[in-house]
Amino acid sequence: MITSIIINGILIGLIYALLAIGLTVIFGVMRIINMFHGEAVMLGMYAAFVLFDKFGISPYISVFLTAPIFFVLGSIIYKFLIDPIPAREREITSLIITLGISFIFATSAMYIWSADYRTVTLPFSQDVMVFIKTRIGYPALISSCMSAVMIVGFYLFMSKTYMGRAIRATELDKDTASVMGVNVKWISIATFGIGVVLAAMAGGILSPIFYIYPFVGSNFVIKAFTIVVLGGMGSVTGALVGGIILGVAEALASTFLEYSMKDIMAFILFLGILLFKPSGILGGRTRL
Amino acid sequence: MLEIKGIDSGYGKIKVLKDITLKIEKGEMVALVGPNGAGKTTLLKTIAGMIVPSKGDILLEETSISGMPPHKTSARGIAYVPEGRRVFSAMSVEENLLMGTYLKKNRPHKTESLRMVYDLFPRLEERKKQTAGTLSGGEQQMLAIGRGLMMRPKLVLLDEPSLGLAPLLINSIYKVLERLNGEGMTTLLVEQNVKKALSLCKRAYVIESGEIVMKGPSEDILCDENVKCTYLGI
Repeated sequence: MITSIIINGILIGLIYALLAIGLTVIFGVMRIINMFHGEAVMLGMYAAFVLFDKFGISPYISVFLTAPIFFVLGSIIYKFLIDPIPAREREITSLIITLGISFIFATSAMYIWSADYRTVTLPFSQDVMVFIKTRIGYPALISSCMSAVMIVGFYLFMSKTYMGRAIRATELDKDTASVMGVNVKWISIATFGIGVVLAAMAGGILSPIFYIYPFVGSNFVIKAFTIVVLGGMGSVTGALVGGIILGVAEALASTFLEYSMKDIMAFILFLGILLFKPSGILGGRTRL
Repeated sequence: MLEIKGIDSGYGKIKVLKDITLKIEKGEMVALVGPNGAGKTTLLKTIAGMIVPSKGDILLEETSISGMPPHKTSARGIAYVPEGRRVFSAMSVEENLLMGTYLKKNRPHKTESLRMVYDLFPRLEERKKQTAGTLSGGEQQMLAIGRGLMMRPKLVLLDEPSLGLAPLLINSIYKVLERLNGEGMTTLLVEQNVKKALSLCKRAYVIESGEIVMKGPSEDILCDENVKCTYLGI
């Protein structure tokens, strides 16, 4: 039984990791605590829901179709609402602004789609496969695999492409990056756009296995923050490790304690890591 | 190549540089020496575009680059090798060097540029997969210079390449600078190590409290009584 709990925990943990990567990158480069992240997940879920409901497009495909729209949305938010903030007030003001934006989007979602819980029911939603005596639902399996592929893809983007390296260099030392020819302002806008795209894609990938409702974002943003702190801020591999730890911890708590205890695991881990290793598990400063 | 015409510059309201005029010909290696806090780094940062001068003009090959942001001056051919190395510590040696080819025009020359830097500093090739933050101070300085050269610059601004290094390492860095000078690299070298800088460069400027107080051939400056007693302790 314990293996099946852990396997299921890892599967959900991979999706959590994807959820956290956008946040960790935005924090790493711009030192912005992006409260809008959860609503980006929510919007990604609704986008997947609408495209599935109206046009029958599978969420696993529609996440790629909607990505450019979310990139533009993220860039606009950064350019017009966050970039104008003077540098010394950045951290607090950007937190309040992104929190405000997230309220606007959450209440708008309620206005448009009502407070009803929505689901994306795929033809194979009820199908199950058995792996080492573990029952795994097909949607969960596909969602996890897709998250894993996207995490690897993002890692390669950050380590092998000029733009990825420029994002990391900007994260480490803005002044020196600009001397190398990096337009730091443009990289910041693009990074915010990429962060929002990653959140929305995680939302789309989550849509077949989670309920969709207007305030679902606040639930995810807490998990994402826990993972970022757990793995070390700004680190992609840290987010992967943190996501899996949170997934497994939640799976263990819901089995051995009580299902309702699941959601407090994030806070317990959060407090634990702040007490014993505030720099995060992979610690150090901004390793990829 | 580079012409600075009476610039004033500084940080916010604090004026550091007063009416600086300086000229570098193509292929020349010029030293800028002076005590701590004289404004040497401020001048380099102003040329690189990190600080906008409040007065005067900076010309690179007869075009004004004054007030251009650093990502534009670097595209014009200026490579600033900052004081204290400033390597991207969490990135590998090779990734650091590749940041020098970030500009689109330099990307096609990636392989030859890497070859050139590795020939100049074989140590960097041995350590190319290593994280830059784990290198020794001397190796980081080589990396910072190598990263600048990857940009195939018209003008290199070198800020205190000998700072905090052991004498043996300083010598090996200077050997490379000498070789680059021989190959016709145009360089403005900022140093506190006056003797070292003046032995390498044919011409020098002395800066004190934000003003150029002396300029001319290195031999003349080395013979000056004031310089002798202030900088060389003779």
